[in-house]
Amino acid sequence: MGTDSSALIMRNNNILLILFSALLIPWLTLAGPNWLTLSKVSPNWGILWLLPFSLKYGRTSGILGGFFIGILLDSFSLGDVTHIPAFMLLGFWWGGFDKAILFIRKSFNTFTLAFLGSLLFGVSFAVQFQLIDLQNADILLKSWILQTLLSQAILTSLLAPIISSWLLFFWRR
Amino acid sequence: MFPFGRSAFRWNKSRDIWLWIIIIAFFGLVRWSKGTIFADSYAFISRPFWPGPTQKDWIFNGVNLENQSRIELLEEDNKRLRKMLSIQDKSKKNLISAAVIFRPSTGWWHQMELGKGSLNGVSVGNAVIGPGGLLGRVNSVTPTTSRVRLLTSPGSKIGVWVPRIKRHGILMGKGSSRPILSFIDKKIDVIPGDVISTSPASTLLPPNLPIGVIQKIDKKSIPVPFATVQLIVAPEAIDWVQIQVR
Repeated sequence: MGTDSSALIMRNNNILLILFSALLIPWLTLAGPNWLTLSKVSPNWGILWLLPFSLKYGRTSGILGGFFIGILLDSFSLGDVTHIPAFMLLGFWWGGFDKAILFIRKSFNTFTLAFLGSLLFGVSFAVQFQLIDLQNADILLKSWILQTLLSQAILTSLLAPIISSWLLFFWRR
Repeated sequence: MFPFGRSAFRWNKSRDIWLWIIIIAFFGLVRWSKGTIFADSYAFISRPFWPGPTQKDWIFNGVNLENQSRIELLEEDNKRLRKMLSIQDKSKKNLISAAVIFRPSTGWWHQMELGKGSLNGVSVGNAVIGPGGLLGRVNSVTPTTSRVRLLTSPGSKIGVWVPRIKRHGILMGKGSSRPILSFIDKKIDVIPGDVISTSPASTLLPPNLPIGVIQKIDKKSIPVPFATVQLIVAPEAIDWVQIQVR
């Protein structure tokens, strides 16, 4: 009985922690410090949250987590393109890995996953921009697209080993 | 699966159904309200850190420069308006100033969040003006904030006027700092240095408001020629703007 109730409390606490950390994403997006930018491009906070979440809870949760984070971040954009498909795809992909990949000793794995994920996210945006502007045939090669894509991927992947490992550790407690 | 995780959790009947209903309802509400809860609470908390009055004075000084550049346009426009009594005079200003509280003007989004919203009379479609000219239009509003689509934003399209040749064009944001001006006529004689402004007969935007200067022209473009425009206002350098409310 005691074990059951303590497990239930732990479970509820963990759910609250995960929801709380997810709700911090819009705040970080709005109030992200200027010094934490590369070429004035901020890191992708959604990816930094979704990576440990998908690795910990698996594919189905990863897809759902990506969907909800996409909805959350879509409400802060102009509405032409959506975050949802890229985040759901990343949730599906990362959910298939073993969570042990996030151990600090394997931080290069986290770096690589976040870098590739951020690139995929950027390509998804670029493709959507291309679809809404078919007149402009070479939008994928525009310098601002490449600059944003690379800056965000580098910055996100550099932060991922610290933040994602920390989040995973925090959720485990 | 969360909350019935890989190893930690299991699906737990009605309690979890209610949890999911609450989660879905919350996220749906956030999306439907365009982030009102977060935007308004962020505006409330960050209010002490908004740019100070010095920036505001600087903006007002900049308006003098804007007025100088408008005189020539207005004089010419007045002559035409005298002949066209049916056109209403829309130059009466109803401006409110607003602080820029969030500006991801680089990266994927070319937008701004302003510290004034529907409670201050701001509504969707209002023109947002910086020192020297038009910045963009209000895309959405919450009670205390408003979101602006900058002219540089992909998807931004407004009708503009080239006063020297008296021709209309469409200014389209492409994500870079210089939007593209596309012309309706195939044969145009614009030259680099021509000023572009809002249309003298515009009802959606303030008439004769300077926007930018033509920098480069591609007359061989198919199906219509286009020009690259350097905007007068630099969004990344502005902490205060003015919103023209209707």
